[in-house]
Amino acid sequence: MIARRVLIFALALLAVGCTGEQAALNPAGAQAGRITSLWWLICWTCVVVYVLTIGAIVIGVVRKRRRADEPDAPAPPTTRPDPAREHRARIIVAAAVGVTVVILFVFMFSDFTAGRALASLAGDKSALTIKITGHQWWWEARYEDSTTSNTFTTANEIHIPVGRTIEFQLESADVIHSFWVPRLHGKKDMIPGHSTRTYLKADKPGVYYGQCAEFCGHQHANMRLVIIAQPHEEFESWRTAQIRPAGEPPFDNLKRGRDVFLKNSCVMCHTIRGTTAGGRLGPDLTHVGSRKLLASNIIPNKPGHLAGWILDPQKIKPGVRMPQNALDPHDLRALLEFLESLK
Amino acid sequence: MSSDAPNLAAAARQVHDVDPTTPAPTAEQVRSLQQLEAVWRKPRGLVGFLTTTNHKDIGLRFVYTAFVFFFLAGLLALAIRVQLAVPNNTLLGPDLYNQFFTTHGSAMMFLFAVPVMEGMAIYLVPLMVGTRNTCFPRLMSYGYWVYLMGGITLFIALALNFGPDMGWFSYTPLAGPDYSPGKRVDFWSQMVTLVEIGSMSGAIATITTILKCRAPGMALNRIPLFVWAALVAAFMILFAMPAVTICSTLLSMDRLSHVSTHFFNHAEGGDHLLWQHLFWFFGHPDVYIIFLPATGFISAIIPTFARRKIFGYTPLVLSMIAIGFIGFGVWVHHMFVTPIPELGQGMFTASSLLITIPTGVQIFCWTATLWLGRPWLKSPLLFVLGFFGVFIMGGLTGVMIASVAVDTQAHDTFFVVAHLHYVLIGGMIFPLLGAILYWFPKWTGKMPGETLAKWSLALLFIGTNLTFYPLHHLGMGGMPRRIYTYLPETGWQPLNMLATLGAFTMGIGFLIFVINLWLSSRRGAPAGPNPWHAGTLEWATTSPPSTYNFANPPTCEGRDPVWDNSPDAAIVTNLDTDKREVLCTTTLDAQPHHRYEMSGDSWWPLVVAIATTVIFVAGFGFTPSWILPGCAILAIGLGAWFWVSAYRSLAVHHPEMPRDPRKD
Amino acid sequence: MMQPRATIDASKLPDHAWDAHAPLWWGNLLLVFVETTSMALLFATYFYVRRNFHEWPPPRINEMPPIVHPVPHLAAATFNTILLLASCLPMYWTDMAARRIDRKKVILGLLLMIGVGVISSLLRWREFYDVHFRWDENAYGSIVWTMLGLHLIYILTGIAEFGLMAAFAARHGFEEKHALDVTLMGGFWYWLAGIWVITYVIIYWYPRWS
Repeated sequence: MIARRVLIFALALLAVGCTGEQAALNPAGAQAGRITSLWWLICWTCVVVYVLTIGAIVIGVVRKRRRADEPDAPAPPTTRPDPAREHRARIIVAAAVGVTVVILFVFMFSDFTAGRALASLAGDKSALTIKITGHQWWWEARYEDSTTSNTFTTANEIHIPVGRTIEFQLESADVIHSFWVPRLHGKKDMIPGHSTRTYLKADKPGVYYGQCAEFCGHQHANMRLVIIAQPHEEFESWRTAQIRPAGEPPFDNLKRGRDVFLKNSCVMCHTIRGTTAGGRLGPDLTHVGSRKLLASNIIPNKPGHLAGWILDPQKIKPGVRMPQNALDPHDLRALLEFLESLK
Repeated sequence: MSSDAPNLAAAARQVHDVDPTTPAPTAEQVRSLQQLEAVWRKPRGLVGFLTTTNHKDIGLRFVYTAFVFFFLAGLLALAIRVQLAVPNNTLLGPDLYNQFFTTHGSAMMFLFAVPVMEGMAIYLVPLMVGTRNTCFPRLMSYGYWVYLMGGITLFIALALNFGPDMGWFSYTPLAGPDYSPGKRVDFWSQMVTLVEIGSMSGAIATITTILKCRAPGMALNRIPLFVWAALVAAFMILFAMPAVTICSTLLSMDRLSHVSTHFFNHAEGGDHLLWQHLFWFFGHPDVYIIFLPATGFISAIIPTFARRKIFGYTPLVLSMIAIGFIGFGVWVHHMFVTPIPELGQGMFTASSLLITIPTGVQIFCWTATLWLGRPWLKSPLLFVLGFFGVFIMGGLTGVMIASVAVDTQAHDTFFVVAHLHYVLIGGMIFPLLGAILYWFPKWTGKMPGETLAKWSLALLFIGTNLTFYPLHHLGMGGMPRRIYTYLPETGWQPLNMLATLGAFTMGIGFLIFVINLWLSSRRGAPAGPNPWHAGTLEWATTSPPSTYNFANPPTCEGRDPVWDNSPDAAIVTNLDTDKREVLCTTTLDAQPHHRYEMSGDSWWPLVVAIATTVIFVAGFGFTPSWILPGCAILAIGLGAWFWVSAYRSLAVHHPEMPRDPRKD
Repeated sequence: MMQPRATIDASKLPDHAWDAHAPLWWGNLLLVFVETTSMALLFATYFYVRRNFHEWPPPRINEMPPIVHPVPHLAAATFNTILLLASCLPMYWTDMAARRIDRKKVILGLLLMIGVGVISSLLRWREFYDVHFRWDENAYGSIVWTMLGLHLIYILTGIAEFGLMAAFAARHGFEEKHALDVTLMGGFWYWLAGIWVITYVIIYWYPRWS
């Protein structure tokens, strides 16, 4: 019984690469799917090669090894080997090299084919364009639209429609970051001075996690990213909501919260469309209440967590660019209610 | 280690060893041996320590120093693993974690892997080719001192909490003046410059020794495979290391506040990809600079313990040369997720796959040697078997990520961490430890203990797999490299815990290995000149060898001279015993050509190394006004360096030599 | 009575070599490899950085009147090129004198070469001003200054070597074993002139063609 439990546990552990919610081999989109099938082709071939090679070596060593009961001195060296056996060995080695070459050609060919397939999405004219800018340590997402007023900016939580090609234009505001959502596609670096693009498509609705994959300083570990793939209608209603600026707060307490926001250092870095807050250094907070996670997706968006984040972000993400804020408890409560109301 | 006191008995025994039929040494022979001892003896005490130019002292010093850095970097690795064992761990925090992983990587690559291989080459090459020292003893000694100072620079910085924290690859702009103010990156870049200057010095000495000082008869097609490996690796050093010294110098000029160039500032036309190209143009060949000497160890150990000549000498040599060339054509596979044109990516995929072929040829030839021989399962061979088990795994994952598509997922994740540790631990540590056991009798005169060696191998093998196998799964599970923590929701905790346990298993394995060597050096069985009954020339002299290696340098009648030479094979006689003289042979056929005087012990390498350190660490690292005084000391040091040897070679010091009539 | 075993009697061999048989010759060649690689990497950097500019060199607009195409002036550099190429002749002459162990001519030749080096360094000083940009103005300025600077270091190294050899020959004398040193200095100097021609074309002519 225990053995079986251990076995199950071990299998569960080893399945991490194939089943996790951030696993590259658990594809949810065409691109990741294509890579996964190439992966398994190469992987299984390599497993076979490994087993054969190691098998040959082990057999070679064990077969004619010196037994323990043989006398102490080693066998005299063979300096003039048997030509017939040498010749046979040469043929076998040459054959093994030949097989290696064939396998490598297969790999190269399948890699090129996969590369073609991955590049094919780039031609899609109906693609939705989202410009992602990497910052230390969060993601700015700007949804482009041919109508300028329909363009809007949000951060860290990126919604996309299922089944439609998304063109991500990738840029960086400071150091090199890398855009990676394993279940949808491989990564692409965001390099200052070079703008890059990546194309992907989600096949089914879901929440897909990712994170920055190029070391970018102190909080590289906590620069997480969420892509939420939604059916077309749901996405459109989210988009419509996001385009709207924040309205006038209906209650006094919310008004007080807004004033706290505007009178404190928050406005230096954050934008809330519809108010005078227009800072560009931090995430756009116009609809922060609608997001599920905070601080680049590492803590839940709940009033308690938000309060902790506002008061002492350094404790949650040491080194983060946001300073500590000393707020009067009433002001803090009002601010929290105001921010959570920004749906 | 070489003994300081004249050891006539050993010397006389050596003449016997070369030719047991020789009668006991005559009085004249004894006198000339006495003179030889006196000429090659190094001064006693600290002076001797600071001025020695003997290749065995310096080679072992490289090895010991590299292992000290390896130990420190290993401790950092354990701290890293402890930090990652559980999610949201606050043990280290991002600042320390980043310093630790950067220093771990930098120390392992720059201060351990390359220098330890150079040290082994410096120790072994003159013995294996049958000469008395490396060609440029002072250059080699200088190489050691700058390496030591580079390493000390890095660890002093870490101890002062100034350790570099931008990764061992130091990508700009993160490492540039805007995002890494302070001096952390400068310590790193000056360490790199110094260490690589040291590597290049060592490489020049090694290449010249191999080309010019081989035993008569050791034509190119008879050079021992380890020496071939050292030769190819040294050539790679010459072409790869300038790239990293150039890019670390450009970076420090960008960072110096009174200089402020714009190589890596995109706002003024600089380019961050330029850094990546320059760095990986060094960085990937560097892997082969580490791996090739390891293949040389394997090619030395396998024939000895398979009890037959190596199978496929020529293919093995050609494979090493091929790796040397192709190694320079694969660097872009570190940059597959940057904006590189598709055609370029295709070419680099092809070359990355291509390099598998020479590696495959090597593995198949070694396998054939084992099949055709009668394996004698002693610990050095067992470590080589450990190499096969671990390295082939890493090689195959390397083939996987040579594919651009697969690499876009695996790049910069723990999958790559797993791959590179399999390759480096498998491809370098296992053969290196095997090699240390194999040549331990040569440099101590004692046999290494077998039991503890087997225990350490078992723990290391299990520990390596336990640590790094789970990382493949973590990487494909989405865990990027260089993160100081992760969320519990990711589900990465159990495998990380497993890896941490593995890391400690490895630690214990290394500890046992070191204890074994320590015990063996104290009470190991006496080894004698050739305990493994091996075939190369280092086994034709005493263990440990005398300071001059060979009283009468041997000649070579086959690829394994100890096995192949006829009993009356010629020896080299009548080299001057009143100066450090060796025989130079022709480059291709190793025919005796002329005598060459090697320089003696000297202070100047140390002086010049200090000047170099002042120029780079103080000048390029802190303020340019240190550069001029540094250059002044450098000029004096190099001037004296030249002057001393030019003076010594004046004929007036060698009155026994016929003077050229034209000069009178 | 046993046959004495075969020996190779080293005392019959010469105690020095002048050409590719000498270890020092190889050491020097390998150093030249390192230096060539360094220069080649700087050339590569030059062309890599060039891709980030529409105009090469970029127009100089922070002074009046602006310079639309500020290519570096040719005069000093061209003169320097001619000087360095021409100096290969006295270098060769010195080398030949060294092989004849003609101490006086060697010293004379080395002094002449020191003069060449000094003039070349002074011309290089002028060349830095001909670039139109300081090293800290843009990546163009940075790479051109670095290329000129690294080559200047090689020239200064050459001067130091010549001076040292001349001083030694004057003080202690000049013998066969020292001839190799002069030959190797010659090799280094020819290399230095050759790599300069490439550098000169890249810095001074490439912007005029592109």
